[in-house]
Amino acid sequence: MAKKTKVDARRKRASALLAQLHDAGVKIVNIKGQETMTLDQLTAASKLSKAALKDISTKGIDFTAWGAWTLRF
Amino acid sequence: MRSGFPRLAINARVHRRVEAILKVAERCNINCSYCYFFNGTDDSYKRHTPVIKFDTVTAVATFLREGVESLGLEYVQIDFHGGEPLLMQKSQFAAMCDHFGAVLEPVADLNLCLQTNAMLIDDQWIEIFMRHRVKVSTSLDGPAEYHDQERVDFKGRGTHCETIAGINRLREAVCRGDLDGFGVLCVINPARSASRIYRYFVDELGLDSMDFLLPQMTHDTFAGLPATAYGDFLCQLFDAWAADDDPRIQVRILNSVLSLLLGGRSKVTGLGAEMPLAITIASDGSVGPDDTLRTCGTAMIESGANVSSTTLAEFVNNPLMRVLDSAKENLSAGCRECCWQRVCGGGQLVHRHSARDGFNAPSVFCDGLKPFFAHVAAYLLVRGLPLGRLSEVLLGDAQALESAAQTRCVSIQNLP
Repeated sequence: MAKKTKVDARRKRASALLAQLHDAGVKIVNIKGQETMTLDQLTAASKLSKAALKDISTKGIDFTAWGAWTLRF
Repeated sequence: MRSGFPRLAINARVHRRVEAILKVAERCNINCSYCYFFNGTDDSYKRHTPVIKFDTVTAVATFLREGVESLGLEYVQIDFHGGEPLLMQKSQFAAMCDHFGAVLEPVADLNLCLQTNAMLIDDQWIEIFMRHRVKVSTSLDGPAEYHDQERVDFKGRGTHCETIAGINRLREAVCRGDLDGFGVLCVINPARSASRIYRYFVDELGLDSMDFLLPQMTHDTFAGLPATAYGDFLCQLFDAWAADDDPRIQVRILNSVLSLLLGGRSKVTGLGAEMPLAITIASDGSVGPDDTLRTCGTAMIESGANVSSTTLAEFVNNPLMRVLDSAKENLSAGCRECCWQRVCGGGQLVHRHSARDGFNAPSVFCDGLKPFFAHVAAYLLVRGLPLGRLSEVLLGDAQALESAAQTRCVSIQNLP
């Protein structure tokens, strides 16, 4: 029962988060059969800054580096 | 499993740091209408010496050194605060910096900071800041038409002109290489344009380090525009900053939210679940918790302890600190169920407080913070942050959001 409660709580939070992201202007759509995005796909699909793209291309999709360049911290 | 040792002490040991807000002056040369220190509910400053005496400085240094050694700390930050700290005589201020350096630098990484209204800054102060490597932050609420509404002197006159004069001296010192930089703190007023203020800071003053503070309001004192207006302000601020795409411009609250959304740490107290050890030391050596809690009433800031008769290790075990530690950890039911808990952490304690419920409430700014967090999260998603990453950070499960969206793979698009 405790595990079910925890799962239910997470589902509730996930639904709330989705709704708020939608209100913030994000649409999440299904792409059938697509694997994890490659860097080219990520580049095409996103608006990463040139500095971030350069960093990711040399260091890989590392969130620390991506954050540091794209997000300026 | 939680040990019997206060979490604050655990946090101090984990983060290996303490921040001491040192009230070197408990008087001010101006009289800002929103001042939480002089125009709030607490008037303990009336019982404290106007300017800290050197005996107290030595006691503070000993107190902090003993704390470093007993808690195994590696980093000490002292924020020279007030009132207006530059009301202290220059020679006394310099001697104080010398003493802290002599006592603390052998045992810890010491960072000296200053929060000032900038109006008293002259070349001699610049030289002191340079010699003692004091990091300066100034208070500026935007262009004159904004700043002078609340930041006034004792005759009700605006202080923007003198503030800018001091800021210009700091800018010149940075250009000369005498100082590495300085920061600006702006109190958020949602009736004002965030983009106007940001553009003024960046374009007209050339500032690159700033922060925007939610005002010190509790559930009992909240007034004016609704919380959602604060969220709108922060979203507008974020958009202005993001549009610049300039890595040099650092806005601490935005950096903190971005960092938290990526699974990192906040840069400021009041966001995130962590509660780094921050204490306030009054001009008479009285020790209390984070200074912002003064807005909750004198009982929330006066612990009965003094640096001359207690140790830091004892102070984190003080009944008042235990109450606050417990309040930070034990969120209200609404906060425990919230999808932003790991970013918000319930918000600043002062914003959760009411006389009726204590700290058992969400932040009074909750209705504005949620859309702000969503706005920043949306920015990340459309720029390539995988949904699973965000899901893992916020919900502890990389699949949770995809499951909720009932998709197998996702693409993130802006809504038209």
